[in-house]
Amino acid sequence: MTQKLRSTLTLLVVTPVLLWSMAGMDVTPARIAAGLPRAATMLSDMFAHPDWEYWPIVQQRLIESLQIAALGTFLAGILAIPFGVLAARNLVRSPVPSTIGKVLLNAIRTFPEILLAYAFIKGLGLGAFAGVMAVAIHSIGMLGKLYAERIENVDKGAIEALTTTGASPVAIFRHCILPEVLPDFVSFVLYRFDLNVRSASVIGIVGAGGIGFILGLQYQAANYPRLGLIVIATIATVIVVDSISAKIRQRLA
Amino acid sequence: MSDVSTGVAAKAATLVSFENTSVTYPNGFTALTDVNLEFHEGEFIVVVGLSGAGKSTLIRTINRLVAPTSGDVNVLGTPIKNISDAHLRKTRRRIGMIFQNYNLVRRSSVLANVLTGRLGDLPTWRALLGLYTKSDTDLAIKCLTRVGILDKAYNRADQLSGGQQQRVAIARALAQQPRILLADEPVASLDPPTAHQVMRDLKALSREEGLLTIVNLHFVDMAMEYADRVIGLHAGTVVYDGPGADMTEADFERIYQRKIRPDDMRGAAEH
Amino acid sequence: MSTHPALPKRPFPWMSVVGTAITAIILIWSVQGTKFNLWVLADGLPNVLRFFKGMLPPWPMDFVTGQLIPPMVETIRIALAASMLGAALALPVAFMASNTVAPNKWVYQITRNLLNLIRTIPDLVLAALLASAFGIGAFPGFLALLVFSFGVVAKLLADTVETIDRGPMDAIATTGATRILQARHGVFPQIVPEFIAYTLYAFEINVRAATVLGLVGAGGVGVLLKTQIAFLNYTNVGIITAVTFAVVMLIDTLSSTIRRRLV
Repeated sequence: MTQKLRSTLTLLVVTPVLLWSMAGMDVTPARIAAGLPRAATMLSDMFAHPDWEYWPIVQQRLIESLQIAALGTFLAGILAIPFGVLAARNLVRSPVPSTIGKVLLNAIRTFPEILLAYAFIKGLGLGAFAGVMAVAIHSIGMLGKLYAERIENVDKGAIEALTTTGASPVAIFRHCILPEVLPDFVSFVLYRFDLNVRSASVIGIVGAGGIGFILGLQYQAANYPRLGLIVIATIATVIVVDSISAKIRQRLA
Repeated sequence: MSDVSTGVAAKAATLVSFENTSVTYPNGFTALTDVNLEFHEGEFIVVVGLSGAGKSTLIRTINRLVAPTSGDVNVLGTPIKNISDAHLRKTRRRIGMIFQNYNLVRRSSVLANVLTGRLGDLPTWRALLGLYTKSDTDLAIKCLTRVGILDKAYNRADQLSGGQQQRVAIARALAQQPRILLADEPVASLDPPTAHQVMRDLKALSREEGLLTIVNLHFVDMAMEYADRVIGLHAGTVVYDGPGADMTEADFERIYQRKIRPDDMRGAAEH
Repeated sequence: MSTHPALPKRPFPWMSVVGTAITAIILIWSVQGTKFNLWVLADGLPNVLRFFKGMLPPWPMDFVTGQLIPPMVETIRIALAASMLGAALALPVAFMASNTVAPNKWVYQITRNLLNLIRTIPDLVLAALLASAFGIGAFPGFLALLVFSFGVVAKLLADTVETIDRGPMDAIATTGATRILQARHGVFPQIVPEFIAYTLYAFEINVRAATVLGLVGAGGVGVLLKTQIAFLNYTNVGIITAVTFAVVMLIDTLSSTIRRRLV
């Protein structure tokens, strides 16, 4: 297929798809025109004059989000280990356990975190505890998958060498595989912590604690100066956590 | 330790015997055909041959990394073809092995690596918790001293040079208190001076501990220099079995069935 | 062990000790702050499970045909439009954010940092703000996902462009062509499969994000989800989740097939 033909075909397929998807949105120039000045005022209210007096509450809620992310990620980090071991293809002869493990992990991973938040709020009441559990369960999905993939990539040579010494499979796992993968596991946990600081901020909106809660509150009250402070503080926190976590992960490699 | 200096080879115990051993891999390739050999305590044996001739397979059937498809291999009094996993582990305890790529646990310390040589003798709970006994640790230290690398005990294994890592691997094998030592191309990744050093160490150890040592080499000059006995393989069969001291390049050309080339030689120990 | 005469001194494992201590402190602090309590967890678990049990089949089909399809289609449209346009916008920016194509260091640094900044904004916040400005409905959701997709695709694309072979690009440069042409003919052909893959990846994330965006009224299936939860219709919540999951799986399969056909 020539280049020109391919480009034309692509255009022929892509354009109607794009047009169809845009059409459902009731996008009129009038609407955009009306919205822009509103957006401009909002943005200036939020970022040009943030309500600094509101800071103590923001700080307290930010700390809560960090705690939710920290504890939730830590729990997931530990709980994901058996899942990762189950889902790793190279530990037992039969492919059955690893298939089951991988399906389970996928199911956990794709289950919306917000729904987990709702579920735990139902059982534990509103507040940060529900947030911790939602973050923890959701993170097991991704961490378990990363763990399993890492285990599948271990250095086969060292394992072969220990097998020839007559060590049992359990001993080999403990002294050959674990020392190799644990530093990488810690890296994965730190990476997931990064992501969780973001999502912990969000699930608060439905009541699972942290900064999301006051975010929703101030949004409903249309209190833009306070909203602006919250957004600035959240973004700043995410940036700081990201860079610290990146430095630590570099040291671990 | 046996007193090798008094014995004629025939008087020393037979530790390994191949009985009509054949190995065909699942993909159909036949690596060994009808091999019959006896290896005795204290011998220093070098196996030579082209790649694909079966050197690696021969060594790996001794500790059953590769299983014989017909015939059997008798190791330390046990025919190993059909034994259970538990019995196999017990037999492997007494066979140490070193590899071309050292195969250490890279992120662990040198001492931790040597200690893993003791794992096969530990009860499960000790192995899981990493609680080696004092005698284990003493033995590990002794082995490290033996190969001259005790000062690096707490270094991470991957911080060491190739020659040093191979010495750690040898120490790990020694920690098993083996009767047989297998070496699969132990010096192929090392520069000439280091390679010769490792071969000298292996030979000395073998003599001092009375170990049956079987080494795979594709370097013709090293085989001639170090081997007590040379086994030459060609296309899966034994075509030569004799003392190393008397070998000539012509003998090698018969094993290889071609002229000896420069890259078959390792080169001098000194620059 | 350290008393053995010949053994060298064991270096004190500072990193591990300090690391463990800090982690322990952070965890204890977090347990207190979040009121984590195993007994409360054990007590509350039955209710949690009841939520999940409520989501299981049998699922009344009339909900699906009656109420679910229009919002689902709206979600797919928003997600698709946002990912396609976002990817299109991301293409030139990705070139600027890669050290192989960017004309100078300043452009590269500024673009990279801008991209990182955009990616730290939670899309929910963005959607909420846009909904305030432009009214609730599909449009703010689309805009929020547009920005989000742009950020995701631009970063992934920039990383890919940095790994390409500079040969074709340099060859075109010798003919005196502008940087734009160099990028269009020297670089773009090398990254087409990745470009498509990342666009589809953004599409998939966008469909999943729709459930969350609905919370602020930004259109699609998320709004329906919110009302069903409010009315405690957990069965319907289960249906919505399952259908969303199915759509995501479909996109995943579509993405793999297209990529296989192209490579």
